[in-house]
Amino acid sequence: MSPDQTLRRLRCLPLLLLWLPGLCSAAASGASALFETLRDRVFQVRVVDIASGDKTTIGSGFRVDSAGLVATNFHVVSLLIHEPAKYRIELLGQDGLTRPATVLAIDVLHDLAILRGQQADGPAFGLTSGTPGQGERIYSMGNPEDLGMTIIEGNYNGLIAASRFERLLFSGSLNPGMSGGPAFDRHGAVVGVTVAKGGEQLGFLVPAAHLQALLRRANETAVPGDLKAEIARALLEDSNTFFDQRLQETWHRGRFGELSLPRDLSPSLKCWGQNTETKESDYSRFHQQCQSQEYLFLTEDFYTGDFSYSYEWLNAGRLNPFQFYTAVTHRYTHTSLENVDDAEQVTNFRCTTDFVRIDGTAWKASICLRRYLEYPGLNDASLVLVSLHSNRDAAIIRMAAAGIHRERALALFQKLMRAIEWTR
Amino acid sequence: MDTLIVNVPGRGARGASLIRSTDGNLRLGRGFHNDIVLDDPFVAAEQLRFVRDDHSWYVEVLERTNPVLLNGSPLRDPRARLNSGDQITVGRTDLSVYDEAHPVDPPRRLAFSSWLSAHRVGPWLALMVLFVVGGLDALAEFLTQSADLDWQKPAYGVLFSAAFIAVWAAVWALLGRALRHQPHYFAHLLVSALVSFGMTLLLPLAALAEFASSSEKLGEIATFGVAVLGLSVLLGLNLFLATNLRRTARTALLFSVCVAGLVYLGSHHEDAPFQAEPVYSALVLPPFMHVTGERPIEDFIGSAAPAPADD
Repeated sequence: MSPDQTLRRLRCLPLLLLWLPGLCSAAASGASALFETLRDRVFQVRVVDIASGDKTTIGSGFRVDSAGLVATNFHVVSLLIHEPAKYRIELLGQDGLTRPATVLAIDVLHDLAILRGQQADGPAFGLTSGTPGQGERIYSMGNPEDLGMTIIEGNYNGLIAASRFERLLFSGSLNPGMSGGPAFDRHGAVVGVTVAKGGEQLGFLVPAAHLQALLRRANETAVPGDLKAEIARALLEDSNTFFDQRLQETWHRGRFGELSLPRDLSPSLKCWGQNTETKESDYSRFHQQCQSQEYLFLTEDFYTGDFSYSYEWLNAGRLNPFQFYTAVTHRYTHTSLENVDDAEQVTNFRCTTDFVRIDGTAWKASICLRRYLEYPGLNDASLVLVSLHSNRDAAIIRMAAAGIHRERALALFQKLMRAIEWTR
Repeated sequence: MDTLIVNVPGRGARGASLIRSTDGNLRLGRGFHNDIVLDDPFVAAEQLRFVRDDHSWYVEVLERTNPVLLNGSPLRDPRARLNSGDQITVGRTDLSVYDEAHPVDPPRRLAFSSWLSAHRVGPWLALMVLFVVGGLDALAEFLTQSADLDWQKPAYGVLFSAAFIAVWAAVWALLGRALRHQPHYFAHLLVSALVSFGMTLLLPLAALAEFASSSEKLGEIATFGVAVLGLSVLLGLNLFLATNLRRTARTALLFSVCVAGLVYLGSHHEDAPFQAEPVYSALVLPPFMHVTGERPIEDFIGSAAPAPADD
């Protein structure tokens, strides 16, 4: 306990005896005190449709520079970045005044943006250089559901293990509208930027270090460059780094049915397995699938960054070969990425399907690719394989990646196919 | 041309009539005192007279309210010479005139429909074939398609198909009754059942074509090909039984190709230009049906088509 706290506690004792409320409960007044001190540094960030004059997206933001630089999430202002002629940004302060703002710098991988507000100067939040202790009380401010500026309390629960894009876990009650707001310790030093709600009392923060880096970049550039080109560059670079690692690593192997297959392809993937043998289905199957847990927001209808693979083993049970392969046909499907459904963002898929020899047996293989129209070099890629080694058993293997360079996708698929081996 | 034979086509349920001349004259008109009575309100009571003059026959026009056409051209002369095979139009009736020596075409060969002509197809044969074919169909579908071992789906499917075949045969029987005065219902039922079974045997070939080529486009074309073949054979037999058309096979094939073309265009016209899901050949058949070879991994990867450039 700090000297301040000790002094406060000692002062409380006699006052408790006199039953004078209001001067005690230092912990309870922590949030209110912080709110009072910091409220004028936090804004509601609004993306306004120029034609109608009404707000289309709302979020929160906070001053990170006394000259009026405001931090928020990239996804709060993405509409403006994609259609700058249709939208403008406003910052609504605690004084009830709105100020125009422009986007100065973005970090699409960490969902951050720095805005330059006009006449938005004032005291700014400081960014912490250290990390709070596990379970330490931290606070978040923002404008949930457009209801007004609020402060909530929660616990800091550290970096999520094996997250690809680095997120902190905040056990507090975040709500839509608070995105882009600050999460700070009891000294008011920003620990992270609120980015998403995970569930009940579960939220995610972007570590302050990334905001620090973005702020440095923002200060180095007086005029924002082509933001969309910046997004494309960042996505491609990150994707290449991630998949180059997968290509260079030696993959561990595990047994799956009669196959030896790669496993644990990335620590950022979560894996589940299931055995489905029910009375209703006259054949049996068990499967394992591994999927990334984080996605990169590009627009409300366009996400990228997904990476997944799955293995499935089917056995004919009571079915004859024709019946069994009818069932196999129904299961022979590409991974449904469901990340975008917009002809202006992506092309159609183009697929190549043929028979391939893998470890001495015939497999039917299909590769499908589609290109991102606004992010050169990036594709969605999917592979599905089915073995043709037996009338009674079949293996189906899938792999899919959203936002990957074509050559890396093919190299990845080739590496997977080469890694498939029969154990018998 | 000693004897004149006038062919008056039938109307409604009446067949055509052939009137042979017995002496040198034949009178034609709406009046009941004529040798040839036409029930056509556009024909006068006494319209034409056929006159024999020195081994030739002539037609005389007796009344000119409406034009009389000889071989498509209006007859202006009061009398015109007739040749065997001439066509005369009075009112709205077409007649043709022949002499006894008029040449006739050699008989048309019936080919595979000779059996149908030679045998009256009775109800028992047709129904038995329909029953057997339906049973085999349902069995085949259950044994090859039923991944959930549900026999009810193929059974109900076949019942529905059998009902459809019964209605199809009935429609053709009605047409045959109208055009040839012979319904041949059970013959239609028999051929429809047999063709449907033929399709059951041939459609797996289309599936095999898709599997072997890994191309859903080729599979689709093969399926349409089998459908056109089946429909042509079926329509050819239906037309043969129900109509007097000369080129039933050719007509049936042309019609089938047109229908298939329209169906194909219609189904693809509905396709949105943008498709969020990939389109690829998902058909997997048992390994013993895989008869084409496989490519090495590198070869396959090298051939992977890039995403569309300008969509």
